[in-house]
Amino acid sequence: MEAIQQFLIPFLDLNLLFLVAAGTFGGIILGAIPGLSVTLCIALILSLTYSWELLDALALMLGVYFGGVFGGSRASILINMPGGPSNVATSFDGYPLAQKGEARMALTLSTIYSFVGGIIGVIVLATLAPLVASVAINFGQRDYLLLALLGLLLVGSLSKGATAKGIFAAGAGILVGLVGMDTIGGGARFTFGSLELMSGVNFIVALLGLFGMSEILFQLRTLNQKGVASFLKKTVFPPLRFILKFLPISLRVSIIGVFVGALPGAGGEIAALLGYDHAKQTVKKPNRKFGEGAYEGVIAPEAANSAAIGGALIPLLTLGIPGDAVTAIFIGALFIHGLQPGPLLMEQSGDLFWVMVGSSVLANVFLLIFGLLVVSIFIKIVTVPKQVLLPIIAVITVIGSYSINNSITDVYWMLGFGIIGFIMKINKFPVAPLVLGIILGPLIDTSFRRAYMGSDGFGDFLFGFVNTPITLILTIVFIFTMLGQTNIFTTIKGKLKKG
Amino acid sequence: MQTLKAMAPGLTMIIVGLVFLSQTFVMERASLFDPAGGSFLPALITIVMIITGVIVIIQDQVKKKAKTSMMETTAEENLENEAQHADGAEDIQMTWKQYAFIFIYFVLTILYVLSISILPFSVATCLFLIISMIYLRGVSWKTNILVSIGSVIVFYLVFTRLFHIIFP
Repeated sequence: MEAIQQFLIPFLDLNLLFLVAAGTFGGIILGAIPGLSVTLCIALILSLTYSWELLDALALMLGVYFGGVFGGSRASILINMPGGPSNVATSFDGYPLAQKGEARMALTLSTIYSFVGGIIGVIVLATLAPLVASVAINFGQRDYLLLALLGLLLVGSLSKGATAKGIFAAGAGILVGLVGMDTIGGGARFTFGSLELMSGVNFIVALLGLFGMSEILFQLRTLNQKGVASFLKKTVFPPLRFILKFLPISLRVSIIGVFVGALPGAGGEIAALLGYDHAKQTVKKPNRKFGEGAYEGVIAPEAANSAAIGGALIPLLTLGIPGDAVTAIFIGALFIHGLQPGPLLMEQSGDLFWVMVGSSVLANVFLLIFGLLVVSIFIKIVTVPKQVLLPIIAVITVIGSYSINNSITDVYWMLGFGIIGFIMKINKFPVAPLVLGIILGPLIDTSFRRAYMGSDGFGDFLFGFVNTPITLILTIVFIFTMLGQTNIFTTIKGKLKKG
Repeated sequence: MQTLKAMAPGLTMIIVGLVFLSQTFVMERASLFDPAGGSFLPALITIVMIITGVIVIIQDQVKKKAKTSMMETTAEENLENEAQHADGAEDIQMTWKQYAFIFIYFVLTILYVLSISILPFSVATCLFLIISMIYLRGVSWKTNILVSIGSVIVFYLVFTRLFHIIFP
């Protein structure tokens, strides 16, 4: 009963209602602009809402999250330039549809099924999260250590063909996260003798540099790449029966999306690709061939990437382990407001969980409304020249990093991280593991050391990884994931296939 | 020279790892050989980082060899696939001109941040936007001025009213 009351708070509180609506609308617009990632938008919002109430800030961020992931499909369909990595798969069939004069149909279908996927994701979140949290309440220090390392490893490995670089970035992230005073021992770590570094590196500043400034610099390479917008023909709204035809496939890909999203390290990007692949495999008679404008080819990735958001929130709220860069920022938001994300969060501030669930449902409702009503504006938005856009984003990034502590020094730090991120991108080092490392570094450090202190010598410490069921399972999963990264595994697989 | 260039990412990784490793030796109130201490885990991580650096060097060498042998056999075919690696990831190729272009813009941003401390925020921002759009080209004078002044007004209203940010 209490849960329902809390769930309804965002619907009844005008302030929250407005913030979710504004967030969703802003998210759709910003997400629709190619090159402006959802991660960047949410990092900016976090820096700007530093002094806000937690629930207000979360409502706005959730709106931007759902809106942003959805908004990217507008650009995929209209100009064949995905608004974000989650929308890459949408352009496979979305753009061909637009070229055939069915842009409005593609936009409508993707809106409706983004909504369906999003709602399914939230339903799974609301049912599974309390269960996971009740299991996770028994987690010990070792389990946290393993989970955090697992998350880092997966994010590192999923970066295409750059496992070693991903692990390096994650390691560097952990070390940057440890800069400053050692909370257990009291000594200074990695401060290079600087007094200013004693309080550590502010991760939001790092975030703005690594995702914001570096992205601006990176986009400067392809300044004159411009998408050509297709024309919108006025067509009637498709009949309900036609829309409902796609419900079964959308339900299937949504379930795939939720679980992919819930895996640490895999987010909307992979969910969308797997969803698209599933549709391609299972839909026997598409209206056109996949890749030439099949309706399912637009529906599947959009339902999957929206559903993945609900999935990504599960490990975040129950274990305190972010699955990807965006949820890492949410962890940061909770930290800022003095909350420790993890199994205790559900017990201590269960209201927060249900308000977030309520806000997510609300965000999806607004997504449906804005997505269906506001269409023609997108043609203009997705073709705004980068020459106009990039300087404006640069200014917002500067304001954002300044506003955290009202300090110009932070802005220089942000610029420094910006150039590091840019160099990393050029040399194909993934940036996300670095950010995750910065955020998870302190957790890994303290859980490792506390686990060691709680055991009797090194042998007992190692034995601790196999002597309780939960830890044993996590250890096995961890070892298999590690092995999966190496060549040994692929060779064995290859041999088995041949044999 | 070619070999050195191919090894650059891996070498940088090793150097970064070594710099961090050297810092773990000088940590106060921490013993390197006590896992519960403050420097054991960081040292372990730096070692892993150095190993990944070595792996990257080896991988790059193998790739380079594969590339040269491919060039010998199918020179024409290779031309088409030049931007593609064996693993399918696209190579990011940039000219010196592009580097310079980006670097100058970065310096421009630094100058903007410097100017915030001297000029009023709105003036500095407006100037930065106008100069940016001139530098990046392709925007007409009219749009440039309109967008710059418009954005400064919007920034001011949104950030002071909605986000309660105090500008420098």
